[in-house]
Amino acid sequence: MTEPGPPSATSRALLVLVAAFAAALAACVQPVGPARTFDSYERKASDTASTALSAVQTGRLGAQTAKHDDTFAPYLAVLVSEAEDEASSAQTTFDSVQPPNDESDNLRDDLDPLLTRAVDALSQARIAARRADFDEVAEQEPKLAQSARELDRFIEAHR
Amino acid sequence: MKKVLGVTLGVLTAVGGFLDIGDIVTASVTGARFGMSLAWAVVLGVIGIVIFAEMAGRVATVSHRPVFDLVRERIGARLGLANLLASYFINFLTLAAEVAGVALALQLASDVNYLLWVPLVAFLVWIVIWRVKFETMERVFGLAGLALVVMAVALWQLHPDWSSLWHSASHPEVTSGEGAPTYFYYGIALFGATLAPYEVFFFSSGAVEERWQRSDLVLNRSNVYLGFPLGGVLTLSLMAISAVVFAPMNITVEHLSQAALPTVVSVGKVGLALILIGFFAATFSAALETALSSGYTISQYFGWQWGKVVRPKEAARFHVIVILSLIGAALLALTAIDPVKLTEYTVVLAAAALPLTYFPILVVANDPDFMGDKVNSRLSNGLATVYLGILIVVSVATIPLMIATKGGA
Amino acid sequence: MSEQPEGRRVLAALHLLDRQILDSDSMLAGKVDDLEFERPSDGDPYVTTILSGLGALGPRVGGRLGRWFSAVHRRLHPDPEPGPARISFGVVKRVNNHVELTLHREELENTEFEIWARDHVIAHIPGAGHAPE
Repeated sequence: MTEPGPPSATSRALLVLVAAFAAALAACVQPVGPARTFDSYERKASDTASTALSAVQTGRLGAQTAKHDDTFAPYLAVLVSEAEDEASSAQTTFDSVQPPNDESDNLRDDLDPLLTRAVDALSQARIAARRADFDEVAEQEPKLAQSARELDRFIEAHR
Repeated sequence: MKKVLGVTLGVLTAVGGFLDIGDIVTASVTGARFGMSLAWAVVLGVIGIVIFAEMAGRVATVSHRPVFDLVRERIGARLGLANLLASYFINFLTLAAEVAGVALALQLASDVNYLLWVPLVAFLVWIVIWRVKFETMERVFGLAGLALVVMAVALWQLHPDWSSLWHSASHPEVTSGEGAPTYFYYGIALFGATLAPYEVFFFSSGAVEERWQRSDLVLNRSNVYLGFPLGGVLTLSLMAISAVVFAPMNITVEHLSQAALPTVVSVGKVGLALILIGFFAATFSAALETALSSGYTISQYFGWQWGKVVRPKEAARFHVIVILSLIGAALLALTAIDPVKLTEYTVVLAAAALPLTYFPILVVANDPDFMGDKVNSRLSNGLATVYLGILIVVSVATIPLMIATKGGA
Repeated sequence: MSEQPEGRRVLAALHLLDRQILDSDSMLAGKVDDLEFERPSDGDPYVTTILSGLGALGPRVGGRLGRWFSAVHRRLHPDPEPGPARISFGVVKRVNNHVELTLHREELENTEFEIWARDHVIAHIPGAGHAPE
């Protein structure tokens, strides 16, 4: 009843599956590519602004719960610091992309200060949250709201 | 009276134990990004798991053998082995994601980095498996998971526009600004999270461990027909609160901390406490189940003694597999791979592998040699076959969609 | 020990192969991983031996994985060149959904991995002797 195995159909099927999975993973893990045209640079800028907006809005919600003393300090600290990391790494990634032309330079000059303000406001909130200083966190809310408006305007302008 | 109590307890346990890190992450992410327009994927998943869990439970009750045990007999040693390898691999990834999920829940409660919690979590999971009785384990964590009902409460408190939520859910369409491939990719993710294969391995092995008799079939059916859909309601609640709170604010969910946020916004401190307890219970019980499933699948393929009912010395290989799997999963989590991304990829892969798990169940449940008079009725066969068709379509579509959407970017 | 007198005609591939083996205590004792036949000059071939364990499954599964199974089997077995574990068909009590034996697990040959796992790992962990109560 024993047939010595050829490189069995099983092994071959497995190999195909592993290859497919590896291809899928490779497609997902994308190193940040260069932007060669203004359009693709603009898209990167827009995506970065969206990420920062999401982070800022998250921080804002956190600040609102702090204002009503409706949360716990450890949770708030994690929430805000993760938002800060999100915004800050988005900025770092964006800054590492070479602007392809002058027009792109202007775009970068427009976006960078917005990102910096967003990250700063989130940092302040994070520091306050870690100190369980809910009042200080709540005070960041207007700054975060302002950042959100700016980023939103940027995204709309570059749709 | 006692029977009613037993049934109620069973249903509640099933509801509380339904969610895991996959459901929590995918429901939050898709709610924020697609509103309720992917609700159908959850409904489809719940129907699927009800069909197959009922079959698997029936098989276990009648033949006193769990489904995976019978896989090799029905499809042969070689195909069975390929099936085992794929199932074990996905189970392993799920285990790593659940362990990371528990660690994340602890981080949210303590502000101590989740990586520091991972080894402790893996150890705790093992200790519970080693020392705690099966039934106790299920009951405690299942009932604790009921804390997640707070998500439904949160939805109520938000006073959402119910008609617009209902409209979005019942008229699914690709959200503006998103492509169809991404939409369906996330639909598959939700589907895979709901129909997680380990649930079936665990469920049917548990039925054998607890020595379900035919008289327990009623219990089995009520748990499945009532408990799982109610669990699905909780999943949809999470999707809805994420939609209501996050979508208008352009928030995309990238962290577990955000998954809890709508409940905090709506219900405040009490909501936060309950949802953290719920997250912990849901992920911990899923970690227990997937850890045991790693042992079940391998042991049942080779015919080794398995289970918590016997002394560990009498099921040494089973326990060695569980321990090694937990260590491996902890190591994977400790590579600091993004747990949310790991969860997303794992549920998608699980969706792709669903036919492997569910086809043998259908075959066995149809075999009069095993099932006697409890063999599949024509109706359940019809339904299950239609579902198998769906599973195959999903399976074939998964990898291409994953590549086309760059992992749901 | 001949199967011929009371033997059942079964489709070996369908009714024996890959079946679960239960010992005299109804404990799980491996699978029927392979079979050995005898072919008398008169009469039909009959099953003489069940082969079980990694040493039997390895050649059947084949490929790199199968060779690895065989290697693990050789590694864990006390003998230097062990063949696959054999269970004489004479100790088979009954064949229905599983193959029931008259022997206890410990008396079978296919347990070298279990014994290794027990002695080298599990026995060292406190509480290995008690089932969770």
